[in-house]
Amino acid sequence: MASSEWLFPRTTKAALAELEIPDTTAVAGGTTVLDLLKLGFSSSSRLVDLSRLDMREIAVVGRNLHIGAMVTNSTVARSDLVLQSHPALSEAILMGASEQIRNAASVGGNLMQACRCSYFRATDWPCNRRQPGSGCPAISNPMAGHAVLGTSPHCIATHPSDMAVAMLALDAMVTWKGQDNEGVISVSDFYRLPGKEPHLLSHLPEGALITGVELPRTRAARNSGYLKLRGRTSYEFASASVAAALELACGEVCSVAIAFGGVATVPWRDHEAEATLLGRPLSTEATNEFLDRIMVNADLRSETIHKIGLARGALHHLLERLARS
Amino acid sequence: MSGIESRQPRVDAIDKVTGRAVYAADVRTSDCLVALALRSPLAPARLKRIDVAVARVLPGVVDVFTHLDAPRLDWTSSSEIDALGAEGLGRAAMADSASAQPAYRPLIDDFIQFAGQWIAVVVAETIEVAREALGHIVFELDQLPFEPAAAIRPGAFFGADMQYGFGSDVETGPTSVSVSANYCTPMQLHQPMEPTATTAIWNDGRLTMYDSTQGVHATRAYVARSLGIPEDRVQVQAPFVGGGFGAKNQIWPHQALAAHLARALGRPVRLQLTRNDMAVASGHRSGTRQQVQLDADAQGHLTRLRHDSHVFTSLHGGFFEPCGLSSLMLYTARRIDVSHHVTRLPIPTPTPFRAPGETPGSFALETALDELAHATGLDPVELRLRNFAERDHYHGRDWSSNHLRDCYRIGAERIGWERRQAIPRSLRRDGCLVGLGMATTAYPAPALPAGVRLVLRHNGSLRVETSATDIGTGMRTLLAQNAASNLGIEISQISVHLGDSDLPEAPTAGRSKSTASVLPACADACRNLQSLLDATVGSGGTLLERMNKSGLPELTVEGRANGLSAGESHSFYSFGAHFAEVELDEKIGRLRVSRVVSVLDCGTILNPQLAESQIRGGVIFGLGMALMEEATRHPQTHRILNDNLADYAVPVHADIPPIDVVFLNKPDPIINDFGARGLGEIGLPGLAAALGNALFNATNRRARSVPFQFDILLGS
Repeated sequence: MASSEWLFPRTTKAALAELEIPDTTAVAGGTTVLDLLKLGFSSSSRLVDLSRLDMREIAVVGRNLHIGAMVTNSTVARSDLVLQSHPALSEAILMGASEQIRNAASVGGNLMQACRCSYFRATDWPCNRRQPGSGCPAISNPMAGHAVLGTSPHCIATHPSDMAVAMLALDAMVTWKGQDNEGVISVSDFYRLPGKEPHLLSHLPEGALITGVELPRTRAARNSGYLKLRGRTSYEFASASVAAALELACGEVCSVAIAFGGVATVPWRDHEAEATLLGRPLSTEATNEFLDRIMVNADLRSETIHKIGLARGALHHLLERLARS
Repeated sequence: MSGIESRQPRVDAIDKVTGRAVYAADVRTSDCLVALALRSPLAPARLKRIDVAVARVLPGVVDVFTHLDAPRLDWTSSSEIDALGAEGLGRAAMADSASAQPAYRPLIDDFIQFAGQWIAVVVAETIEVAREALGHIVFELDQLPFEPAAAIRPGAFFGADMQYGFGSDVETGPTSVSVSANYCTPMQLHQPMEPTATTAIWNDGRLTMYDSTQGVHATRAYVARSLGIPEDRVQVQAPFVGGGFGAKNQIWPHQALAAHLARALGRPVRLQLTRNDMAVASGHRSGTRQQVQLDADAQGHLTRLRHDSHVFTSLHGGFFEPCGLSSLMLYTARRIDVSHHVTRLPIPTPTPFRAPGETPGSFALETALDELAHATGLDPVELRLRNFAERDHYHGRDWSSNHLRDCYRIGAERIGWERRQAIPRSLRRDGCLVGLGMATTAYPAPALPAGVRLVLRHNGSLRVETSATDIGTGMRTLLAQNAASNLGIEISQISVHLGDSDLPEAPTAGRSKSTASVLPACADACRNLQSLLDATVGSGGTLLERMNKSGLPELTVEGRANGLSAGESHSFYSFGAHFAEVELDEKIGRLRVSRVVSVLDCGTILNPQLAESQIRGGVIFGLGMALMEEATRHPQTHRILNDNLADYAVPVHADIPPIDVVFLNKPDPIINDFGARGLGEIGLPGLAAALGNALFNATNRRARSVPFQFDILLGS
């Protein structure tokens, strides 16, 4: 752990200018960056602290709910606006980490958090994500937490976020700013599958900063929820989780969005599979068919096969709850 | 005795929660160096090359030690020293050629016996520099092939025969029901809240060590010999210990290493184990595979109890889990066969972990009894009553006191056992399956010789001094209470000084023996003080009045207690019964322990508040074992994968149900004047089985391994 230069820009423009300089890393809440530094990850020589930036608003803007990138996870989870229009987001955040971590962690940082694979975190294992090309011990010796969807021969680390899974089901858009440009990426296009380059986390342009997320305020989003299954009751990453937004009309599904966490290398959603649920009553058979379709190409090992049953149980549980409300 | 049996809160609680209590790593001297170690990522292996040149010249680095520097550390090594260390425990039972090899010490040669073994130690001015320097050490390992040799069948261990056949020549009689199954328990890590640390300070040829240990005298004996100096030139202090659970019970070579480093460098050294080090350098509970066979006649009387255990130890160590201990004596059977089979692996040496042997053993035995109850159609409580051991048949002695049957009865009442349906899947609540289960717990109640010194000052204040440690059990509080009630003074007048090898000797805090060893010595000291005052100033008056009358600045007396010996005419055990209720949402595999009732027969309870806390802690350990705790090893490198508290899950508050602890509080008429037996470990054995038995009652699916897996928890 080398000592670093800490910078505290007061404007987004100044922060972006700092990030232009090579060997610079942005720090939001610090719950990933500082954690990895303590584990012995090599550090950039310059760290840009984003805590002075003015990205802390939660507001209705047009048809969307806007949440600034530096809003803390705790603030999002307790926001009346979020609870009203996107309850799944609040539920997902409150199922994650601990109160202390949620108080420090930001929305933008949560989206960018590192995976929790034990081989990744202990720096003396080979790891393609930490050190490209060094190999992946998880492929031959997976653990119960590894992914069954979106895997590659180079990485099977599970995406750790609860919040991002809810955002995926809620059709969130990530807004970003660069030195000379800005843009929007939907959460469904935000993450990269590990493929051959598992060290590349997202499609956020190099040197850009996440400025916030926009969540469409739909009827389905108002009837959304999150269910997380794990080995202990609190303070543990998901064995499997599901976020869903559901709208029924006359007992038939007219809008549905379902995203899975804890099972895949990225927050997982399948629009085509969702389409099979539309225009039908929500039934056990339909839900099972949907899940079978999601899992048809799952990369199952004896250590991870339980995730299918967990995801199925979680899905039934959550959809039944949303159908009742 | 008034004052005793009171809910006196811990006298050191405020010191602990405000940070005033000084632990081994908190000791600050002006020029103290920090030592941190680099771990081998695999084993077995040869260290082919190690380059510390860059680390050595880093500003703030004072020195770097590898096996090439072994002569500078000047270790004294002998079989006598090895016998005092952690690897020595059990070697006599193993009695194989590996047990005669020198025990493991770090930085001695290029052979890597286990993953996590230290291959270099950096000594630096600050912990940050030490950590940075570790990252600059380059090394190369040649992994060696490994094939385990045939399992060893050890002899006597923990005073019990590990290969036992009782009544093997008698006819077992007609058997109408037989159950036989394999049971597995996981490797577990102690991970007490305070990671182990040693601060070693030399002054004029004398060593003072602030060490996180459960036993200061045992530490002194090992370290002095390792340094090749007389014991009276070493003082070991452990006034506060932030939990141990066995990880600080045996003496590990790193404790001596701190002193060797400080001697070699001529400056104080603090050697700090990280969380990762704690998973390897101070022992673990090894995984077990056990086979239990129970045969019974038509009335449910055991005709045969067979318990075979397959366990592991390190390449040169001796400790293995003696899983069959309870099976030897807890129930009556016409024939009892117990065997242990130990395989050596390139792993760190395992060590006692809260109720070693009984904890994994009781999971197998008490689950098997539940299986037998189900097979015979008998209530699990009734089955145990029918096989109740009226006396200790294994040792051929009467129990000093055994009210286990009352534990069953009261536990059944408190949990509402009459709600339990013999047919699984009969109870439901809020969409969840509900099950009830129970199991027996038992643990020995030894006592060893101990001494306590009292120093009464002219102002009426009293110092209580003993080398005993308080590892979170409440020993400091119990001693203050005991002296206060015996001498008729306020607790606020008393200061208790513990964990110092210069103080009167008391045993290491382990195996549930401290209370029964140390408290009688304190009572003896109080009697001696009264006698001395009687002789000096006559009787009558308060302690302060008599002290004033004497005109002395202070009075010092010592008390002793001899403890129990192997030749006692009775067997001393504590007993208990756990009853548990679980709720399972089997659609999502979500298991919640909704209630635990633990009824214990531990003789007189000296302080219910402390005692309940001990039992609750044991129950929570058992809950962790049943639901989540499992250390896993990488099969090719033998490295522990989850050697940290991010990946090794222990229960959080939300996992812990209401725990109803009931003490029978019936004095043991034989063990000591108080009638009190130890209770540090008895809360744990049987708990995981009680939960598994409740889970079976809820689901009709039998969990024969812990932690419970999703194939049991998820309905089809």
